[in-house]
Amino acid sequence: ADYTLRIQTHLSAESLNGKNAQQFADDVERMSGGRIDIEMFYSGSVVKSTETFDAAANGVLDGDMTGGAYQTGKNPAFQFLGDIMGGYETPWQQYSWLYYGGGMEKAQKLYNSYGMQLIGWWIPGQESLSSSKPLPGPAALKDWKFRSPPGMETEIFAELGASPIVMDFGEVFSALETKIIDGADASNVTTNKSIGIYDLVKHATYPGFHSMPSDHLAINKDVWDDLPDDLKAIVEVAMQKLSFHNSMSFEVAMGKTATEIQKEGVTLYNWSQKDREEFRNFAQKKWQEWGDKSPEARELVDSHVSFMKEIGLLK
Amino acid sequence: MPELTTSGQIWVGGIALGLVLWFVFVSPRLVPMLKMTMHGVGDDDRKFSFVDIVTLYMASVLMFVVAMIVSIMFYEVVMRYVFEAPTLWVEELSRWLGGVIFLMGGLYAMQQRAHIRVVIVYDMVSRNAQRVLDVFGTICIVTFCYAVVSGYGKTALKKFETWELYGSAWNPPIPAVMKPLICIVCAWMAVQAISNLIMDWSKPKVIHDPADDL
Amino acid sequence: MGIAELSILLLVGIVVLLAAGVPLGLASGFLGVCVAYWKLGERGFFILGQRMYDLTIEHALLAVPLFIFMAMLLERSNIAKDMYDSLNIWLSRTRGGIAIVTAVMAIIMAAMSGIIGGEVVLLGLIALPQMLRLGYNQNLAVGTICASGSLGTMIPPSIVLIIYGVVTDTSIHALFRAAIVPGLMLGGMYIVYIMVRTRMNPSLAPLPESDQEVTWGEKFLALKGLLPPVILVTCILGSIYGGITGITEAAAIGCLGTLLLIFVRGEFSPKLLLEALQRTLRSTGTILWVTFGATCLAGAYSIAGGPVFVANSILGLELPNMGVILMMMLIFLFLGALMDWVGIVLLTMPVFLPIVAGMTASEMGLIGGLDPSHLKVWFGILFCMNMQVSFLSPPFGPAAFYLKSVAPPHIQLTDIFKGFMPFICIQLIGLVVMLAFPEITSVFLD
Ligand code: NA
Ligand code: NA
Repeated sequence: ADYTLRIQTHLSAESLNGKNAQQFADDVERMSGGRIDIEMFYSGSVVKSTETFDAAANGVLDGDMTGGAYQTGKNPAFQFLGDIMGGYETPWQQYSWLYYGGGMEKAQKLYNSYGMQLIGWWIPGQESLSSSKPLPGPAALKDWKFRSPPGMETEIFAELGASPIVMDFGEVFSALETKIIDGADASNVTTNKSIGIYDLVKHATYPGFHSMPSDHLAINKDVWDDLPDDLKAIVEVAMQKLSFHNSMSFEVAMGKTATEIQKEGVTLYNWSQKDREEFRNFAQKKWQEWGDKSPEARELVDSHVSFMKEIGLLK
Repeated sequence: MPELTTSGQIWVGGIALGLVLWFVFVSPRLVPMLKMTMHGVGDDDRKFSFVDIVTLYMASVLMFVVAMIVSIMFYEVVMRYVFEAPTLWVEELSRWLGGVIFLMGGLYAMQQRAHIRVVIVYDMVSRNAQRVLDVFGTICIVTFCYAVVSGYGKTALKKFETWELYGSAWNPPIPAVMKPLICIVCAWMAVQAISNLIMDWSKPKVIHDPADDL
Repeated sequence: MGIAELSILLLVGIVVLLAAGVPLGLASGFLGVCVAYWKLGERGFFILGQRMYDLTIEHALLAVPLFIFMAMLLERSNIAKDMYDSLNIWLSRTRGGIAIVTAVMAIIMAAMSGIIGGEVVLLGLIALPQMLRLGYNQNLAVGTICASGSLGTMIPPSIVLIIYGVVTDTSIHALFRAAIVPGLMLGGMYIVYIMVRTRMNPSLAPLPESDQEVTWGEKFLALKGLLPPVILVTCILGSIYGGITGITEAAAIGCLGTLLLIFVRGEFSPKLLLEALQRTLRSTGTILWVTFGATCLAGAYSIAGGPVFVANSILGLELPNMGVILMMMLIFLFLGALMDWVGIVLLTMPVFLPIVAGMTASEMGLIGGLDPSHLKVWFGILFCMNMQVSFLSPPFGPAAFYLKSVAPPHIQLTDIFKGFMPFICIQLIGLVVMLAFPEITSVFLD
């Protein structure tokens, strides 16, 4: 191979998205006739998943297949590239902002300033909240003790009256079992099922609405700039195929999982349009607060809001 | 000096002030105890270099970090279980403090010659051969430390200058502090290793005799 | 030079560096430097600092200094000594009784902690001096402490199983339930071994020299010495399984509980507390720097393409299913002798699991019959058993390093490893049992 790309993802090789990532690598190798060789590293095996971006920017890896939300400590703007929270309803709307809403150009400025090039997103879909208590609507979130991932999510749920508990992911399973926490926000129903969340708790929101992370592919900018134009096009096209393939396969997988876990006694809650709007209102208040944290965050929040208005998601 | 954000200046200033006060008023009383080796054995006429003293002063602060972790974890349990008001900061602060002792505890262990090693060959050879092995070991240590500092220094400095935060709700400057700390600790580890080599050079051959313990 | 030659050179390198008396953590760190340079030049050095950073902010590791602190407090006070004196009275007619009780304590403690390290240090500080004082054979004492002290990652909660579950997309709940029987089985085998061995060779575990029978009155009085540890265990287990604290927090509660007991017994002095803190710092630094070196080496080896090399070598052999599984066990054991378990999970699982997942579950084991949905769980338990061996196997045997960091100075690493040998054999027997009868893991699974 003329070019070797070492890419790390936080996902496991065994998971659906892990397999999709491998498909991406195979596609690139095939389309380039072997001129590009991709070495995939799964489950953060080279560096901790959250540090993949830095490792790629520093040239130990070449590519980062995690998500922008891990980088909010650098600039709060990454929140609006990684997980907008209570924003778009489908992966397709979220991709549309990137490709047709001026998102790519704004995101690229931010990525470039850290020595990285954003290639694209691959969004699995809406995540689900899992709980040992029923979650029929926003009122049930009052005093709901849950393990929340760090960042804006904690603030939104605190605003809604929930009691977010900061806890290492390694303790979540024991904590659910001993009832220290009522629930957790881990991932979508399919991923949650595979790591055994529904062996422990029997309530979940579905279809989800609160969080839809955009996993990304970002490549070290020097490495990217070195690629000849035809290979760049191959990587970009393969990435768009991954986006399509990933969202579609998760659409199917999540539907199947939902049917399965219902049979196993899990109750699913499909929040009403009104309930979703209530959540979105709280989320939007936080978007604006986070938008004030940096000029880049402001630009992205405004861009999302105006795009959502254009496509009729917001009034 | 790197330019710092305001919040960075407050953190750095506050911690520096606390350390200076501690070094002046508390450390001198703790250092004699910290000099003692693991099992209270060790020669009383042991000499301490300036490097040793610096490390021991650091240790006089670090030894209390575990007590702090215990205290804040207890506070969190009480707040969460009794008052149903969990904090956002305890988990992250304990993680942070833990990282500090994991790293810097290694310096104290180095000063105390407490790092795990296999001495079966070392004990068999003559004192001069031991000196050769000591030099070889020190070269390995210094090489490792140099590689860490040279490979990570640039990133670490950038994290410090931009005062990069952890990205959570409490949002402490963990990357901004811990990444530079890794480089500082490794640099000092090399210094301590060289100091150990010099201080131990003229030591007579010590044989680990089980009878000593009885 | 290819990755195969590099792998062999690493093996030689670690042996040479250890023999030269280079501190272990820094020796593996140095080899990490060499591998990173071989693969990426100076740019590769970034991986070293990064791997160290990843480890410094690892929350699960906090249990290590907390358990060490608790151990140092117990050891500085007379709680541990009183406990063993009482046990000695109660078990004055039971050959090997103190070793058995130590193993039982380790099994109970395994339910309080998910990580290896703290537990071994705790037993090493408390049980080892007492067993030696009571005339127990050093090898037996060392082996009992480290083998049963390693059960913390076999009996749930277990960080090994959590990481395995996350990396392989396996239900962690199922892994925890599946590990209970194998974990207790292993603990039981240690106890049986102690009983058989001390009956065959009574000099290994002398009984207290007294002609007259211990009266029930004396026994009753001796219960007092058992009270503090019982309170402590109840307090820690109660706060975890009563839903009051998380696993790591429970260790902090244990430290406070110990301090409180010391106060109540009137043994508290500032000197006791300060010395406990000082020793905790030193042991924490000693233990963690072994891990820092190990993580640097594993990171560099993984970026150098080690895992792919390993997977391809297995697939190239074209063995039948159980043959492939056995090959994997050998690789686990081999890597387990050389590196830290986290490194092994991350290195091997992404390449091993797809191979295992493609196998027919019903063909596994001697008599077969494993439910296909339990295949990954069974493999996880096999992995966990292998890691039990890896904690003890030289030259990179973490349990030995943990014990060494607190053992009396005359006990050398080589002595410790000598004590491990029979226990490693027991672990291997346990592993064979699990290989032959995969259904053992299914006992508590639906
Ligand atoms: Na355990
Ligand atoms: Na080992």
